[in-house]
Amino acid sequence: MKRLMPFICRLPSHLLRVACLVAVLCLAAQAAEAQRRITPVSPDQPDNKVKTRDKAKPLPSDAPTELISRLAERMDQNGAVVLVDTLSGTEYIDTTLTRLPPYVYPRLYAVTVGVDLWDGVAYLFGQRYGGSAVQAELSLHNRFKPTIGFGMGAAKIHPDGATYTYYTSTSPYFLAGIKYNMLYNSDAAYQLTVGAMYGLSTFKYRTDGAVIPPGYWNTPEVLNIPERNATVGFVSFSLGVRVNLAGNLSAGWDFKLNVKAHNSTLPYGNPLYVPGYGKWNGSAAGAFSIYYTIPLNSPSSEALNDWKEKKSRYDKRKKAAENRRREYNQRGY
Amino acid sequence: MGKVLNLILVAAAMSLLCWSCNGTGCTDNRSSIPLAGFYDWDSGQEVTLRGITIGGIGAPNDTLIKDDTNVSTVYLPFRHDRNETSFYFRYNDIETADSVAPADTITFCYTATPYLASEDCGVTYTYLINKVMHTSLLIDSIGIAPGDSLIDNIEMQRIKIYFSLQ
Repeated sequence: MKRLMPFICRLPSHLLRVACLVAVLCLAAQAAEAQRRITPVSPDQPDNKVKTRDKAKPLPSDAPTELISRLAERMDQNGAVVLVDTLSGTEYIDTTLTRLPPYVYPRLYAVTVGVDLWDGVAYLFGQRYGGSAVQAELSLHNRFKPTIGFGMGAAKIHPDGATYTYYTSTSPYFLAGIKYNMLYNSDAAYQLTVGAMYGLSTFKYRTDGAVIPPGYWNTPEVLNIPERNATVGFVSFSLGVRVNLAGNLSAGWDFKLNVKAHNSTLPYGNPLYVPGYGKWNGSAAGAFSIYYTIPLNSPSSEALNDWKEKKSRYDKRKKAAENRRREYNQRGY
Repeated sequence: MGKVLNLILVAAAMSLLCWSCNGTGCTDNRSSIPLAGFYDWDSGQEVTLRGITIGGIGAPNDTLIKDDTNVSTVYLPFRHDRNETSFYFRYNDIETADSVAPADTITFCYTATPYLASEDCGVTYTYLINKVMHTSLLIDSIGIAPGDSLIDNIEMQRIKIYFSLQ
């Protein structure tokens, strides 16, 4: 530099100006060249996002710890979680979190046996008809519950102000159907179920002591309608809740809407009570049952906690994805 | 705990829903008494007969169903202890030489069957009408639709009596 200074000082002043101008132009050209090399970043363009997701590959299960530590996470516009290696730029699809395991509980989860006590309680309050049923259900994933039942019912009805007494002899009825637990991935101690059951009842009924008034012809009569057989089929739709009491014991309440499906010929009039169905003219009924559950395959507490954790993360990311989609929509992409 | 409370509240609400749907009382005809209507044979329109007396043949103490009144419909109670019942229709407004009002008679033949109508309406009889006979002073014909030949406790006009009023 010391050698150059005398030489520079001896240069004519106009040459010095030209040299400075060339130097400035070269620096400007170099700066312009450097800007052209920068890849334009436009993160909000959906096309770029789709391409990025397509190029992403699943994260290998045996990925080294140092790789996982430098992964940055983002979510594309479709809600898929993408992990980006911040050093190499490689992208991985987070396959473990984009799909939530469908069930917490195993397929053959439990067998539950229940006894309906509703009519027994109603008897204490003066109801003189009813029965009780034992039901057994197989819990599949704590979600679907194929159910069968067997019950017995009877009636002795003497309406207020009436002269007759109606009897349905103690008779059996059968139930078969399915229940659906809407809280199937929640704690099995709490269940909210809807169900549809077909019931078939075969029974005998009679009426004694009916007084026919004298009427215009002055022909009073005490009339007994002899015992007759009847068969009635019905469908029972139910909405119920079930709460664990202690251990394997649970209590359940059901609101039932019964619909008669078919019945045998009834030439002497309709029965007043059908075992399993209830009052002939009624369609709403209730049930209060005590259940005992026999576990077949219970999920471990670790599995439950793991699922809950995944569910929590899944929900958060799903919500984030929804927000992002909403943001995209608002921007008009 | 809150979850348990919510479930119990839902159950209680469902239980309350089940304490309904009892009978609404007997709104039907408790005794299965057939209702007959009067019609003009020519026009087919319902008519009101003036000065008519209606009674059952063999009724105790000659009790009348209608006594010299204007009517367009009448209940005709059947005897449940027999298979047929006869009624007379006396036309008091028709003058005759012997001053005895002329009359028509109708006889219903039927099968009576005891029937448990409902909890509120109780036990009654149903009557399946097999045959109808009548005289023809003013009565032209009697119409019973095939589907209406079973008289039960449902309140409806099942018998139409057509008169020739010209």
